Amino acid sequence: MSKHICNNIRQQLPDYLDGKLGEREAERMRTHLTDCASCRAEAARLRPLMQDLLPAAREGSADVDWGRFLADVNEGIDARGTRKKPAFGVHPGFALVAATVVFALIAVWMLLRPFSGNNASDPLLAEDLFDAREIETLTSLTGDAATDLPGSVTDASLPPSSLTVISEEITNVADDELLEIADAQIVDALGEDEAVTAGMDYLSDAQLLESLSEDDVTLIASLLESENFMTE
Amino acid sequence: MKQEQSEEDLVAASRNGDRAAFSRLVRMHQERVYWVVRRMVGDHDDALDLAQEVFIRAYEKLDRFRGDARFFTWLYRIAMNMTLNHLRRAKLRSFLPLADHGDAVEEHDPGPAEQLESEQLRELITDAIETLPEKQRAVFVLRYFEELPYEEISTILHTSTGGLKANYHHAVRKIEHHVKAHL
Repeated sequence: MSKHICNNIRQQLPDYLDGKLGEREAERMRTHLTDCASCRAEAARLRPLMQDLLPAAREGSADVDWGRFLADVNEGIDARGTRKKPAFGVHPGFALVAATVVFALIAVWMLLRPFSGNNASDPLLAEDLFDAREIETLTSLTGDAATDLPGSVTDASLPPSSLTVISEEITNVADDELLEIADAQIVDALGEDEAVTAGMDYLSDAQLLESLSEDDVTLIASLLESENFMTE
Repeated sequence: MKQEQSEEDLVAASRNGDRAAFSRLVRMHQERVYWVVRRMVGDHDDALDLAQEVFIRAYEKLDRFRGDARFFTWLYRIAMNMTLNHLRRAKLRSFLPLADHGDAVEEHDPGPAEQLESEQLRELITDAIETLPEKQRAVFVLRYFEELPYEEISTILHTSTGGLKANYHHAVRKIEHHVKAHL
């Protein structure tokens, strides 16, 4: 039996077992399964899942107050209508670059800096730097100011406990503020219509993730999760 | 007596700021949107928040809905984009990659599936779905639970129907593998 034919048949097996194939395709499937032991074994393997287990999982129930749900949606629409947009002092695209540079450089600095915990410190500096008000400022920094920022953090020689605060706030920046800026940039580039339908959030997240390699992310994770770092 | 408005009329009225019309659209689709998101993210509270955000986002962008697809297809696209975004953020936060189980082919042994309580079974299936890579998870939810034709899923996920069928098959095999390992 041709491998190509078997591949096509197998891709249709879930639909066949779920009764979703048309009559002609189903007949073609039955004929093939009669002749092909390998595909027949595959069908036998998937049949209990498709015909016994999964149907039971289809019947979900959730305790949702749909009246409240609608009220919350309307409340959200009202709130969003008056929501304060980030105040860009620069072009959104430029702000994105600046904010991404800050994010990447601080991450790199965190990777390279020894975590002794014995340096002179001022934990308040970190907290002040990354409090909600400062995050707003951070996202609208120009490129030069953004580049300067990691230096000022380095000079402060913060203890690991403060670095934890910073790392948490970096996550917040990435999630809430950078994404909004990235979204804005994509809207500028593609037009709002195209950006929405193409998956604005998905693209902007991908853009952020691409600023760090997978290895960087993994390394940061291991540092953040290391016992010394978190408990110093 | 007030005449029943079509979905198209409701969308048009909503575009003009008719909040009552949009509320009717929400009531028409809220459960399906909730469930597609719930099956993607697994968690009830997250699903509820995301589903609400889908409608808020839809209202904000309603003037961009061209009507060349069904309104619900458009809602699905927003829901999928937001859900995938949510999953990526969660992944970035936890730094834990989603498990990707292999495709080892083995003869099926039905096992004591019939002994599982339905709630346990649902949890097992939910866990299995959560092990799928994002794309396969989306295809599986839209095809199996939502029973959408491949052409419509293709519109939502921007993937060829051939690729979708392959993804669906892989997803089913991985779920089978996971379930079998945990029965």
